[in-house]
Amino acid sequence: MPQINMVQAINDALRLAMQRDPRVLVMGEDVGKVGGVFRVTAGLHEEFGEARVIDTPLSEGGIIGTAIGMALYGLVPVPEIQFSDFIFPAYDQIVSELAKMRWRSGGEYSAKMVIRTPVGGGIRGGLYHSQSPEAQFIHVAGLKVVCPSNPYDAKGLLLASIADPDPVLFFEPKRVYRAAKGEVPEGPYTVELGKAAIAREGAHVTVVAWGAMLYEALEAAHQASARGVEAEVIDLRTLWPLDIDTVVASVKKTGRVVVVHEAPRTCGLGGEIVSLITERAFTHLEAPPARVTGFDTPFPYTTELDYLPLAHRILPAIVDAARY
Amino acid sequence: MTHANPDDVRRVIDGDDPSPAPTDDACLGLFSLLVRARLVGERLDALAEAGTIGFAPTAIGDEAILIGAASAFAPGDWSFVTHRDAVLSLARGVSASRVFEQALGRGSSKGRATPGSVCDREARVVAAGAPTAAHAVHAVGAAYAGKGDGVVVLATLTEAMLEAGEAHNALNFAGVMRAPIVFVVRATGDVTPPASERGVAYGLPALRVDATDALAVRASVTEARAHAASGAGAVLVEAVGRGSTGGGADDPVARLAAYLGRREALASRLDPARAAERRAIDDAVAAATRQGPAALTTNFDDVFAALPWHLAEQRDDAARSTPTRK
Repeated sequence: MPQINMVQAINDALRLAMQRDPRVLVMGEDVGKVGGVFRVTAGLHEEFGEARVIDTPLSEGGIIGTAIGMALYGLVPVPEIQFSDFIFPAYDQIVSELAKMRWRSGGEYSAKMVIRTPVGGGIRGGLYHSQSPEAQFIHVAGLKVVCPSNPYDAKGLLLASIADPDPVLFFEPKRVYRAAKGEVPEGPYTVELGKAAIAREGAHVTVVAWGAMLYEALEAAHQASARGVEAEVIDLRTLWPLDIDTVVASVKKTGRVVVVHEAPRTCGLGGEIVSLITERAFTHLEAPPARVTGFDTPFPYTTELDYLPLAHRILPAIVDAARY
Repeated sequence: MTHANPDDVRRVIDGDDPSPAPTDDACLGLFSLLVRARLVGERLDALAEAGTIGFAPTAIGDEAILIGAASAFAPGDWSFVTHRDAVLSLARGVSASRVFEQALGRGSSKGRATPGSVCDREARVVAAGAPTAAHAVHAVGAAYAGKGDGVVVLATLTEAMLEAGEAHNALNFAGVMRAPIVFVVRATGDVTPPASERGVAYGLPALRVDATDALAVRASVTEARAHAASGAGAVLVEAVGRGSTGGGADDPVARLAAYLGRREALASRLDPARAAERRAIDDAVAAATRQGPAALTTNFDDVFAALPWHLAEQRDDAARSTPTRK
């Protein structure tokens, strides 16, 4: 089985989806002839032509708005927003129109699509190429939100998202676009939405993470092990609706939980996860749930490695939870 | 197709337009639709005034634009409209009772969207979520998608919506994608530059037509649709002027009636047609009212295709804590 990186895996998924279903099309800024700023759509323009790999004007609202119309008609658009920081001009189209289409039309219409967008920091991109806005979409009824951490999941989750009847925001952790490599089968397969993965088993503390921070959580768990603390690391994979059963089962086993994310802490997904755990496993908790997150500041340019919840910040949280 | 001269506004009724007049039956059909649109608007206003519905975003006085434009399209075409334009759907095959059902939150509407937001898949009518011009961008995407099928899309806008960023997106993407779409813009005629000139800026040919002349609107939109269907791209039709009620010269329904009344074969058929529409509206309101209101727990349907765990929990909570509604 070939070893490929996440960019190649996502490209492979897009190609397979387009080969298998003529309704699937890709659109966005420079996704065609250029192949995307991160090369994720490289080669698709040559293979499928400009009618299905559309270089659009530079307008996120226009991209998502026209994609909604295409989806209403029956196509399956996979628009790319070049950086998730640039998604906000399309925010109204996503939250007011896309997310509500099936509901407000009484089920007459649906507008399924997969919005792909690179997310997160760690590439020296500064404040407009580094943010993690997942919570701002999870808060909106009607959207599914996915964030893979490795090439196998990226391909399988993207194919599952394209097959899913609901709109999906597919956040791609760009810090590990090329760093995360792994074996990926050549043919089509899916990784079911709504299912987390246990990336590391452990009995003492549950760590919930996703995307690029999964590797930081695993590194922290490795270091904690040297101190006699065995952390169980959950890779959430689908951020919403999240796999509540896997998370709660793990916390009931360990009694302790640390949630890790890059996004700012306040009203971040970590807060929701802690609430869900508290509601369901209160009597199992042996320590206060902890969050290791980005700060409630804009994302910094020169000090991004201090902002990110890297292993050196996760480790004390794991140890403190274990020793509480 | 050439651009409109800003000083030139097309008129068929009492004008010197050389286009061939529609047949008597076509005229009578158009008249009936205009009457129906007026009656639906008036009844929605009355329901709002009585407090039966929250509000009634109606387009009374704009019937010539909405019905004239919609009746120029083919059966497989799509329409994207704002909630003020619900009566347009009457000319796309949607029944009056369906419009009332939606406004009252009864039956198939499931009580979800606000009055006027009629969505009907069979008629290919999509109502906007809010009057922000966001729907016009959807219309462009649908037009792009339907290119190979010979489908043309109608999108209604107002002069005010042209100020919104999404109107720029719609016109710009329509131009770039050469989308087969006709934008019909309701305009006062007082704004500079006029809507038609804005269309020109995006490479769209534009027509100007009298907003109270249903025959002129239909003639212009028919030409615009043919242009779009030919593969030549989008067209903007600016409907200029404000319609009113009361039977005067600016009342589009009265204006059409007066014009058709001068045709010998039609003179005696207008009053019966009007009476038939009036009876049908009473029946439509009664039929819509007979539909039950949606139960609270059905609010959790259609958020996603299948009910996820968190909505199932919230639905069950709601069912436990909410007294049964009549």
